[in-house]
This record gives sequence, C-alpha cells and structure tokens, in this order.
Amino acid sequence: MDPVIFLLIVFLVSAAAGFLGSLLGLGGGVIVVPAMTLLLHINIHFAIGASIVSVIATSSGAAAAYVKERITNIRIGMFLEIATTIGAISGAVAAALVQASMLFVVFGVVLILSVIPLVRKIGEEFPMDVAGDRLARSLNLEGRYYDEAVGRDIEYRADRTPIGFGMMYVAGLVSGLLGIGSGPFKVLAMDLAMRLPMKVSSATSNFMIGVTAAASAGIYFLRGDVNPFVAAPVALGVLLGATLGARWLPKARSSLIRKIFAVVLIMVALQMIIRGSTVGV
Amino acid sequence: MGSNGRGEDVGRRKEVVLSLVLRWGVVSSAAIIILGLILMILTGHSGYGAGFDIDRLLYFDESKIPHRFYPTNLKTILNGLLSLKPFSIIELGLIILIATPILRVGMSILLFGIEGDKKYVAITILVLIILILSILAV
Repeated sequence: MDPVIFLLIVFLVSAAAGFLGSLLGLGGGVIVVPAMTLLLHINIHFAIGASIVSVIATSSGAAAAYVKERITNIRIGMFLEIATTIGAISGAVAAALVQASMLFVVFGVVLILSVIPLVRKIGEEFPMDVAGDRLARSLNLEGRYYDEAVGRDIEYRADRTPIGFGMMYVAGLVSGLLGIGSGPFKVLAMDLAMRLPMKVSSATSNFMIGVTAAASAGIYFLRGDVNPFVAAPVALGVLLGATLGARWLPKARSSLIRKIFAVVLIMVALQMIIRGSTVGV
Repeated sequence: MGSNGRGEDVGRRKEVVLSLVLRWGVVSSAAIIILGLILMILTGHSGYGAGFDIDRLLYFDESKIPHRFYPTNLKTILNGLLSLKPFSIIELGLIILIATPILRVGMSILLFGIEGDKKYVAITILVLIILILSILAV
C-alpha cells in the first residue's frame, strides 16, 4: 500500500472514531482497534498504542467545547476519578492473578445485560424528579447547562452517588484488568445509577477517560507501542472527528444519543465476547 | 441562540480557562504533528532509517525494541528535534497531546483553589497522587 493512502485511510477511520467517541463519552477504541487489525492488518501492539492516543485525542478534542459549554461537570468527574483510578490500579495488580479471556466474556455479558435498563428508558429526554442523595448534596454534585436541542437550561443533581462511585471503581477495575477503555462502564454508571442527563454523562466520561488514559500512555510510549506513523494520522483524524462531534452534541436530542449509545454498547460487548472466546487475547 | 440562558454565573471563569488550556494543547499538538507529517512526505524519510517505506514503517519485532524505526524515549526525541527529524517532531506533538489531560488536572487544582473550594482542591490533589502512583507502580 502507498504510505500516503495508508495515512489517509487511518485519518478517515479515526475521524469517525473521534466523532462517535466524543458523542458517547468513549475513546473510539471500538472502531480504531478492529479497523487497524482486521482492515489494515497492523500489529496489535500498534493498534493498542493507537487506541490509547485515540482516547486522549477524543477526550481533549471534545472537552475543550464541552467544558466551555458547561456540559461537562468537572466536580462529578474529579470525584468519580478517585474510584476509577483506584480501580485501575487494583485491576492492574490483579491482572497477573486471573485469566483475561474469561473476564472478557464475563464483562461482555455484563455490558449486554446493561442494555436492558438502558432500553427501558430509551425515550427519556431528561431524568425527572431526581431528589439527589446526601453525599451528592455535601459534595455539590449538581449543575446546570443550556440544552440547545430543547432551548432551555437543564438543572440536575446526582442520585445514588455511592452506587455510582462503586460502579466507577468497577469501570476502572475492568480497564486495569483487561487493558481496555472504560468509557461504556462510566457512562452507564452516570446514566443508570446516578441519573445524570445523558449529555452530562457522556461529556463527563469524555473528560475522565483522557485523564486515565494519559496516566497509562507513558508506559505504552516507552514500550514502543506508539508508532508515530500510525499515531500521527490517528491523532489528527480523531481530533477533527471529536471537534465535529462536540459541535453536534449540544444540538442533538438526548434520547437520540442514548439510542446510539445502546447500539455501540452492543458492538463493544460483542467485540469483548469474541475476543475472550478466541485464542490469543 | 447559543449563549442565551447562560452567563453571569460565578465559577464560569474556571470553565473558560480550562477550555483554553485544552484548546491550546490540542491545537499546538495537531500543528506540530502536521508539520512532522508534511516534512516526512516531502523529504521521503522519517529520520530513523525507515525511509517512507510502509513495510519498514510498520515493522514490528518484539525482540528488537531498541532497533525500531522510531524513537521511544525523550532523549532520542530531543536529539532528533535538533536535526529536525520528522518522526521526532511527530513524537513531540504526541507528547504534548498526552500531557494535556494531566495539565488539566493540575490546572483544576489551581482553579478550585482560586474559587476557595477546599473540598475539591483536596479531591483533585488526591486524584493526581493516585495517578502518579499508578504511573510509578507499573
């Protein structure tokens, strides 16, 4: 393949990944990794290195817009980041003790099952009658953003914070154990447990995944998994896609975002189950 | 419509400053990566012996880490920058990209501090410590 054509293909695939990732609070690994390995036959190490770069680029590219529009809740993100980072460390430690292939299947099934409560509230535009729990009140886990889709301010506060915190720990644990992004689990924790508006969940997850990924990126970098020839078009493509996604999200209906999320969640889950049940994780 | 309904809330400055930090991080890293790519395409070499040959650019051998066709540590990258090697320029852009989220956590500490929000200064410092521990642990 001509190197310039290669760069262009990777750029376009990454732009799609960045667009989807910025809308859903995911890192784009769900698109980048299979495209790299199955379509372009790149070594899995480079694909994973590229996927880490993709997570960071999605996060920073979209966060600039989301933070300014105040869709991201920095307090909620920072507070939950405690659980995710501790989870990630315990996962990395435990990874040596358990069999990854089995876990891929287990968590893949967990993700598929979590589509059920998601579908039950599929038409919901905003969470209603959320009283908020004590912890949320004492930590000020609430906010307000202007929703362009409905043309008014949306006020919200976090509910069942301890459960959300626990789910965030699991999200970190899974990513530490399996070396995958934890965006889907993060969005689920905020959407299902803490009953935050979909856009806030997505943007706050977006904010968080970049921080977590940046912490582990150094290792991949030193290990040589970040090949500049692959990572450069990934970074540029994802940044473009994420910028476009971040422009569209404020105008989109929350219920539509949730529908797209449910579909992508099933894709992620199937990928995990396939990866776990085939040899050579 | 855009900015209707928002506005004069306190704490708005924090969002604006953070968003500026992110935007600058992203724009500068993208510009540097583009520069490195253009230089590689125009000169036809990456600066580390792989030329502009796709098989060598994507060459992977687990057993030969030091002999890959690109730099993986800061010192080699800095040396490469002095002689304007395309791959070291791209790597500089990637490093800025990777550093941006960490910088964002650092900035948040400062901004929560300015707001006088002690609880969140503590929470953010805790996050930063855990992040550093996780980097050192692996």
